[in-house]
Amino acid sequence: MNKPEEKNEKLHIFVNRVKYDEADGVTKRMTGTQIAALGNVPADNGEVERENGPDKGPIAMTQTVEVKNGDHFIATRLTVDGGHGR
Amino acid sequence: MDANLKLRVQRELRLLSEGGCEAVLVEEPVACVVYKALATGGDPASTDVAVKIPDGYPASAMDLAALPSGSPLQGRVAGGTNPQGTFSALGSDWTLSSYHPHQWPDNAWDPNRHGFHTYLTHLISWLKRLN
Repeated sequence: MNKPEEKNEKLHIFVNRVKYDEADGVTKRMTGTQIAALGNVPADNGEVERENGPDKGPIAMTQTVEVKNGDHFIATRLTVDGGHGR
Repeated sequence: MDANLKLRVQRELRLLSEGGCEAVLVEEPVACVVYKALATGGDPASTDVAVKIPDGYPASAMDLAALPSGSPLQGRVAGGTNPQGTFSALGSDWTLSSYHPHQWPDNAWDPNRHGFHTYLTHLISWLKRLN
């Protein structure tokens, strides 16, 4: 008898269109700071938004949210300078 | 274009494609990547952005970012009032802005971690935080 196919997909999310999974530190519950860090955005100069689902909207850096497979987040720097500033 | 370089950039662009971002590798006359329809914080609500592939990549980091020449966003993006030249690609002219995210002290270039896929992070912020 054939066993049902097991779904063995790693937990993954997208931050700024790039896929990150458990090997990168993705867990079922993450703070805004942890999500921002995946996108290389510092917590003291950043903002995170969930792009999809009923909880779409901003996430505070100190807030902990449930993460589901395939969720999309946008992490941006609050201050963006030209020249050689950050 | 060197075959290994082309493979590397194509691999980075596939990572973006998986996340829903279209980006095109241009080999001539100027080697660059054109990111398509990125959201902005102003008008127009989206724009294409071109980033040159630097000589020596990936040992050397990409730098600057270019909007279509004449874009109303040019004077509003960081570094946009300090243009760094123009070039042609994909049938359009592009104007480079003085934007240097891999020269920030908290963002030193690491060719093992960074690439055109992670540079999108800096373009997203650049286009959202308009002056």
